[in-house]
Amino acid sequence: MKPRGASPTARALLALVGVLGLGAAWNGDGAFFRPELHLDLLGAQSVVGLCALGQCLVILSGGIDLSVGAVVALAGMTFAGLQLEANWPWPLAVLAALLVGSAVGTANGLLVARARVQPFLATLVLMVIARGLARWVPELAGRPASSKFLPAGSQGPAFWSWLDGHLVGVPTSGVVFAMLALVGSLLLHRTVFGRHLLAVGDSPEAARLSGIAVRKVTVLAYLASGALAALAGICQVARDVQGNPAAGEMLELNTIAAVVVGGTSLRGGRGGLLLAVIGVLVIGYLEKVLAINGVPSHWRLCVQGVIILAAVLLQERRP
Amino acid sequence: MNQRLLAIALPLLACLSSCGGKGHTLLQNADGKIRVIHIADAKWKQENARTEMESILERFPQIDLVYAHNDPMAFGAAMACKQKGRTGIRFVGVDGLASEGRKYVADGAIDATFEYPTGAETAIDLALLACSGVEVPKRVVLGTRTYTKANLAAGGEAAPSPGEFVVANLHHQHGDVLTTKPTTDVVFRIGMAQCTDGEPWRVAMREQLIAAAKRYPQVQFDYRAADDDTEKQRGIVRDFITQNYNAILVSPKESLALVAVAKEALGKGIKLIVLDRELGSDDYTAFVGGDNLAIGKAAGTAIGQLLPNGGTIVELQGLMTSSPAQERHNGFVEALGLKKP
Repeated sequence: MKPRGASPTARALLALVGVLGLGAAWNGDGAFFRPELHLDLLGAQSVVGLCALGQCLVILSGGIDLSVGAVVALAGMTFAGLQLEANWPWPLAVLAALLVGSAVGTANGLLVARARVQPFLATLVLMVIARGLARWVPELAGRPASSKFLPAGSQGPAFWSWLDGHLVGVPTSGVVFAMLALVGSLLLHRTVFGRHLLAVGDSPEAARLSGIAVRKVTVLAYLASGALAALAGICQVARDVQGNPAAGEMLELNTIAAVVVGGTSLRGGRGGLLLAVIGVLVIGYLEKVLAINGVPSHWRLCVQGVIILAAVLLQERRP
Repeated sequence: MNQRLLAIALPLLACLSSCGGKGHTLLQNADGKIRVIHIADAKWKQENARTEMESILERFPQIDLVYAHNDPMAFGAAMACKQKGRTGIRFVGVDGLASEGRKYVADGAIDATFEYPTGAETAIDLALLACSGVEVPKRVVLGTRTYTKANLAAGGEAAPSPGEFVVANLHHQHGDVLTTKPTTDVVFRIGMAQCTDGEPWRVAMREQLIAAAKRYPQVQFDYRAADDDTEKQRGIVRDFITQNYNAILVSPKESLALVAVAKEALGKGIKLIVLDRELGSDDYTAFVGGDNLAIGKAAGTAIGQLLPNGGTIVELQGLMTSSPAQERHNGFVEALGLKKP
């Protein structure tokens, strides 16, 4: 790593403090100071957060993953369908959904690493295919294509309620997100694989010359992104109490925004998963502050754009 | 750099301050007892409605009713309240699909929903009539149905529209055309160019269309969806024209975008039935659709009855750039006589 001015972490934290400050000043009659609000936020951001972790790994490897939103839908439909229609026990349904997500991720990785398709195009292809498959899944269960999987009542299986519930007061899906962020970050910065991933993102040519298995590392990055998106899809099913083939729309762009706001370079090689977490929180808190103050949605969109711009300008600052 | 950031931050703060300081009543009725205290745009989505509702619950200690422009949003709001243990809040949604809204009502998750009819059966009937040379009404606007837990078993409470009587009359007059046992073996080819399949209401429409067409052996029905792509939809309609279909059903993605192909179809003597969304011109044989303004009014009236002593309302809106959301809002405002304080 080359020496630079303020560390990316410090800058990302500055952005987070800025948004928190905005919330403190603009607290919606004290709503911002309630702990529940912050816990809700963690739960609500877990889906985008899990996808952002995968997105971040792919971006660090020098690529981009447009398929995360579609994988959320496809894995979610797989999971919900197996649980509701085929009555599979939840561990098997979770495993199947993770396998489906990993398969899409692997396909992305092979297209990029083996077939040398540009990441943008390769993952665009898988995005379209996965969305199509997500809509087709209901037909496997004898239901009309594109329909949702809904439980018989308004309550899902016990595992869904557990995942959408709280663990010692914290939303369970938020706990899953936080733990994976920590574990992933350790793997990225403390293992050979992590160092290789960063090296590949920094310069694939240099990485290859230094004996790194560039293709393998690239495929693994996309595979991880697919698996994380699948996990996000499972969380989404639990939160919505339904499998929805339209779930996760626009998620690819929101995750890229979160990764960039966190300070990971789109050029690859520089950044980290905890930065992505901060990015998710910055955008999540911004939405929250605007929501509790009843800011109309047209203004929200503009404000969000401006904040992303501000964060990017802050990141791009060079000493 | 710091000036740059400041230049961004200051207008932002100014904008926020102008938005936030409006006080707690956005709209209220004549005696000020029914008040809308918060309006949020949840873009038709259950997950958005849930996160919005979580924020709203933190801010407002007293909420009596949530009016959502569709059932998934009403259900999402109900889930947020359930998670936080907030009880005593009523939920009113719109759409009344068997697979969603009516189930939520049956479960007691939401209190009422209003059917937004797909018009599928009527559209097939009108197409068959028109193909057989019967003069059909140019516009058939369908009524709604109210579903509450009390009337669900009885099939809800219908609020029919004049259009439905016209259709019933056609059934009566032209029983020989709308027969499930035709005496000749003439077959009419009817094609449907749907804008998208990607939402439950459209899926319901598709299934109802297919079922409605199946009743008639003299109808050969072909369903094609355009995946939310105007160009694709235009292509589907053009294909139906080239393939000499007798009637084309279309639910346009964009108004105006299909006027040219509609003219082409009519010019070749093909009957064109428009469903749900406006074509943007007069170049069609018949239009069939629900009435969102009437549904909004029905919802507003029902909400007035749910809150006899007044109360505070949160409105969760669909995408306000779409006419259904605007009309569901306007009807609600009109029925309750809501005004800015």
